[in-house]
Amino acid sequence: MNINSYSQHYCRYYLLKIEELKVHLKTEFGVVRAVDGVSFEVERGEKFTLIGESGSGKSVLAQSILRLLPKNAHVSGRIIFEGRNLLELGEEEMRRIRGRKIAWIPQSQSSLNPVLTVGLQCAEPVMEHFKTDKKSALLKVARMFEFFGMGRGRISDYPHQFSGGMRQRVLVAMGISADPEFLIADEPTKGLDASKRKNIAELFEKIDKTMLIITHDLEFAERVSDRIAVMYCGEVVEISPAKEFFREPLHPYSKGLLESLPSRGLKPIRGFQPSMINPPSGCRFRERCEFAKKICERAPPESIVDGRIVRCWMYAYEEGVRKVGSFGFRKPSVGLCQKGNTRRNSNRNSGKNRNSNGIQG
Amino acid sequence: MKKYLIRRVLQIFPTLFGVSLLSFSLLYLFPGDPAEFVAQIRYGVEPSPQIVEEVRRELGLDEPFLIHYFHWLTHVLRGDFGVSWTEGEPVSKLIMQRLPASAELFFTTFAISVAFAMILGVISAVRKDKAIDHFCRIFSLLGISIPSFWLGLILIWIFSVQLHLLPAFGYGGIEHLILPVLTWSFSFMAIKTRFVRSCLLEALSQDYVVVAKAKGLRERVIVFRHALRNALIPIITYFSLSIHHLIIGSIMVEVVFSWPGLGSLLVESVFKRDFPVVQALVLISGVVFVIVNLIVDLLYAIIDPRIRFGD
Repeated sequence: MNINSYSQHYCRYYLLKIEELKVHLKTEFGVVRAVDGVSFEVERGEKFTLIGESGSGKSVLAQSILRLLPKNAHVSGRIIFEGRNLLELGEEEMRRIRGRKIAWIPQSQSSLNPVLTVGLQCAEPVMEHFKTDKKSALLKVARMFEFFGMGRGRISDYPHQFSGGMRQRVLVAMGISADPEFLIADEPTKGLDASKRKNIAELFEKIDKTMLIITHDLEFAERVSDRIAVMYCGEVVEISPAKEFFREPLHPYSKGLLESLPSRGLKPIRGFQPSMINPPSGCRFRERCEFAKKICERAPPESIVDGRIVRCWMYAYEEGVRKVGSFGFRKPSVGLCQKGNTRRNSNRNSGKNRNSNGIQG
Repeated sequence: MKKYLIRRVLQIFPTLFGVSLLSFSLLYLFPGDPAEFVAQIRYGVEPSPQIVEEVRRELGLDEPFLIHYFHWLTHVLRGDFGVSWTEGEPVSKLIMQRLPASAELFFTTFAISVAFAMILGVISAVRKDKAIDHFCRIFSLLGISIPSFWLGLILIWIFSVQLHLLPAFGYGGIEHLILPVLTWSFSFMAIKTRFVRSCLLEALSQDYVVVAKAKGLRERVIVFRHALRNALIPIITYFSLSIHHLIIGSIMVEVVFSWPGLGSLLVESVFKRDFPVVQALVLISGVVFVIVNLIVDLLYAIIDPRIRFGD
């Protein structure tokens, strides 16, 4: 055990906790409620994946954690990391967290600076946060490149000399170079072909760090994640352990997402995502939902179903009456339990051993 | 890189050929008979036709255009621009006399205006919509809208006529340099300040800047290492293209301040119809422009690896 064990003890359950996060972006068309009251926790060591259609607010949510959003974004709620609310930190304190404690793996398009060598770009977090000279930082990066199967010599190349898949590896190397506690990966498989996606998935499996992954690549999510959160229209509608989610999604939207996969019938969800400027009242999915009832005009409460969180009336109790049957929907094989009972599920993945480099050999 | 370099250097030769052909044809394009004009200067008001013919032969004007051009070009390549019609001295000697004054004014102005344009542009981009940005905006607006000959005269009136601080015209020590440089760089850097600002703002809005911020880099590193390096590519293009403004502007500034440089020599020679001098000056400014463009292309390759490794 090292000195980190104290801080690990301090936040035993979660590394990052988001409470009632709202991100409202002021635009010329009105206020876009990109994230509208989202709460979840990312546990230490797990890979937590946010999925959802483009424009559901997941990327904005990820950027709000590092406070990278432009000035027109109004962020409220709490983002607790290592016991501190990131939204209350000063700019300089925040700067020390970025790259060092929480790192960002951006989308591959245009995220690398075209006029700087990839080696320098990957070494920058090391140089900045550990005050090392360029030479030794580059040496560290060269070792990482080798580990990622790119060859040491490539550190002196420029981004345009890399293929899309290689560039994504460079971005991953850039993210973990300063050995952060927590990684946020924004659509790591965007624009990659199937075999490259597989390579990236293998790479992610090798990195043993707490991760928040943003993706709409469900196959990738299934492969790498421990838990899945489904975002729809600025809200999280379901949080489930990955295995159970892909075996039996709870929320109708989650079902729709899975059924739209080619391997599961290629059946798209009808309709379009509603405007985030004037989101519909009640359940935001109800206009597209095949099970929608009168009650869905009211905002559904958060229910806990065997440790899984779902925001749908189908799983809610009202005045002690179970509503599930009346939806004509196959009831989940798992037992229902009331909100606030067991928020914490038993899905902490304890099987993975961590080493100081954050990489499993 | 080597290939790029060789190709770029080879490309300047056709351009140089065109420049030389154009500056040579000035002699034929101007109205009037040059031989008669030279004969007038040498032998008085109304030279006889025999004398005119003699002068024509001497100047080589009786030969066909291309042969005359070829003779001229072979001399020019050896540094011989001929003899001034009015001064009777070699053109190259006249130019060498005037070159230091022009170079002094040109480089001082260029260095000062580029430095200020960069500094003010970067400050106003980084402090966008703050007081300093508004100040720079007003400053550049003035620089764009005030004609420099007027500014020059006003500055002469204030600092020389009223305050007796600086000499109004002439060439000499550093005090002679202040007013022309001030006049000239004020208008030259005005638009450039705005241009630097907008290029840097454009670069600062790119994804890689957000990524740099996400890495926990300091603002200084983000601006100078990440954004400015990218912004430099259009900035250098614009600055180099504006060098011809500087060359043209030099004529006006040198005349206003009686600066004994190449600009005022050009104006004098045009008025005196001293074609060999005009030809030489036009050729030289063309060559300077071609060389500047070559240097800029090489600078691109240094800044932008996509060009360096492009082929």
